[in-house]
Amino acid sequence: MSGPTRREFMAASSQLLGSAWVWLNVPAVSALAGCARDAARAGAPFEVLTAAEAATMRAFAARIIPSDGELPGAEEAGAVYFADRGLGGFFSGMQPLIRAGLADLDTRAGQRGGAFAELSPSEQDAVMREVESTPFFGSARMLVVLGTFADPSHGGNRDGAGMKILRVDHQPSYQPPFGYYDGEAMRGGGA
Amino acid sequence: MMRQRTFPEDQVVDFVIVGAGAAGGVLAKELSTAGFTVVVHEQGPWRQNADFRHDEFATWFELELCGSLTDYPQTFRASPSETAQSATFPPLIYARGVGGSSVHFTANYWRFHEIDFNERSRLGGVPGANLADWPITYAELEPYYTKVDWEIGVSGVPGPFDPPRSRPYPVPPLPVKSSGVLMDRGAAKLGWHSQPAPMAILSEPHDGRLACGHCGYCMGYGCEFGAKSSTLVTMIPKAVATGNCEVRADSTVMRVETDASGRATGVVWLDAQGAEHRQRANAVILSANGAETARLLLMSAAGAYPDGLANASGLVGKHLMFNGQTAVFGTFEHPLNEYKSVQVTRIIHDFYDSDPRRGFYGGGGFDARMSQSPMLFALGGAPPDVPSWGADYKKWLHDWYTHAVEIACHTTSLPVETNSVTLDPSTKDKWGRPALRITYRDHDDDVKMMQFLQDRGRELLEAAEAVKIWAPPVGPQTIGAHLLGTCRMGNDARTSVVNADHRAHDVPNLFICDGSSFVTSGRGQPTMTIQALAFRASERIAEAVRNA
Repeated sequence: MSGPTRREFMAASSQLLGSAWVWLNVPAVSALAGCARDAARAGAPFEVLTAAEAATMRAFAARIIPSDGELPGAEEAGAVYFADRGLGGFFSGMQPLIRAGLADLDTRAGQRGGAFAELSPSEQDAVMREVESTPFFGSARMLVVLGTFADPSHGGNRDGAGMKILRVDHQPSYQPPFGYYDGEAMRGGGA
Repeated sequence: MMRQRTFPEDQVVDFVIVGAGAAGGVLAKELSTAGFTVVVHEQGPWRQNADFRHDEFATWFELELCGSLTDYPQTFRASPSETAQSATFPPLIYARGVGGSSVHFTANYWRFHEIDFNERSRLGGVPGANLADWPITYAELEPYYTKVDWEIGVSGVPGPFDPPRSRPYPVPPLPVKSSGVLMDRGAAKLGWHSQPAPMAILSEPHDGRLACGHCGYCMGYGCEFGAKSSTLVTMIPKAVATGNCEVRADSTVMRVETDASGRATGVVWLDAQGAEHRQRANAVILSANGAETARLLLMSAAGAYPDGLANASGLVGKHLMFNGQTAVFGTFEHPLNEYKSVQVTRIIHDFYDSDPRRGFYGGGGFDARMSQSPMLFALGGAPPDVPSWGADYKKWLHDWYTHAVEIACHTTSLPVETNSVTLDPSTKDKWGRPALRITYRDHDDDVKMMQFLQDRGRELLEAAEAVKIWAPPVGPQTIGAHLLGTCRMGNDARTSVVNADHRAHDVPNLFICDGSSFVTSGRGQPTMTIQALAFRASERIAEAVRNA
């Protein structure tokens, strides 16, 4: 299957990302149809990204959803593997945009004395803010978020990272009470 | 696939039904049970319960159940004067496969009220719309709503605004969620009436099927428990078990054929390899949904029917209605965990009726839920003042995802003649069919009603003491999952496509029964009525054929 043209992608991503509302707009990216590939295993070579691009993408991902002492971030989730696999499949139409954007991050970082991945987190954030309103940023952010929260079969969201961030107790089924308020009602409290 | 009777290619069957969804499944079961031979064509695959997964990416991006826009492109424009553009998201959302969209729907099963059938007489006309009465009444349809309750399997209990019913629900409502408890609290403060939601999801075992396991993946997903009452698990197995029905999955109908006398003789269809076949039948029934049925009629233009089959009125494909869909979001002090269990456990119908004092036509109902599953919420569920990346973004997701709720607002759409499904002049799908070209702009009254109900939804969250409330802007819609009105019923052949018995005015042995039959949109939950119509149509069609 052919991926979307750059123009189609730009239209799709601006529809999706120009508004904060996933409510109806999430299917926007479904136009970027392609075939998903088999899972990329941890440590496996990247399919699409070069080693340098992958390093930049990984650093970018770590600023979108940072790791902290208690919770995993996009790094631990393996979002870069999702992104690499997506760029070789479903999101193949995004490849030029992402490659150019990653190169641009490194160029901008160079003015601060190194590759993007080598800058301090605060310097990385400063570079990110310079490009925050670009189509690249919106698209790359989407890949990182998907790579952190999408089903692990697509290459990211490792060790339940996304579910931990969201505090979702992920089970195949549940029994009531489901939340605080219905639990309170069950116990006869509340209004 | 189930073991089933198969018919040889040269056999003329009693009925060929196009579409194995909400309506087609009912018609197949009823007519095959009555002893007729039936072949059902379904363009999508025949999935099993075990095929259904909790994969948000496959569902919302790859469109696993709907089919991709690469295979099935759609084009969209807001008015007939524009050239439609290839859509980058599907303007029309529906599932392909045995069971149709009843496999992936949310399963809200509101009956229509009496006024949904006679608003034109009650209220008069609305400028810019062709508001009309149905040729049938709620009372005529009531026995068939009851059939849906029992044969499809609906959980619920009657509410204060419900129309009369002849029999209780077969199983009680599903256990209330925190969203429902908060809706109850807000409604009580405002003097509104929250009621348990009627859902086509089993709260208890019924008719040999399992009860809901509360996995949380209903909207957009198939049910691995078989607890969601899709026709895949209710009607289709019974139709096949009669020995009179063959369901042909992965078969795409290209046109309905007619003879020199103007009678339908059967359909031409493509198998999964694209090879052409012909299925002859004594009568043809279209139940392919409000978009696909209209497309097939327009693609079936022939000598006697130059503008498309059954289209002497010129109304095939017109009066498309989506229902208005808006939402208000809020967060609460304690966790709700809305990711668990069915979407909806409480609804409010205080604003169901149109009220002339508002200054515009329209009515609607709310439900409480959180339609954004984890991945979708992380992508775009946060309010506009929350950063979209960085430590504060992550902290917000961590602190508030499990505390978030949505008031979903469902409202009327007026039948506007220019809102339509037509054949795209240049884009084709993988089988060579013209792409669905959608022309749609909500009537101004519909937008006003959407805003009105969203404002009430905000009041509800305030009354329930939400910590934070936010809402997306209201405006004309470009996406619809309810595909209604494109072959409307009526007694007058000049202003409708089918009669009250679902027979095409122009073609004596062609019947049409699905969302396209609707004359008005109802208040946002159409499948219950689609299936009540299908149970009734089955009787009317059987009678018509026996008398022919």
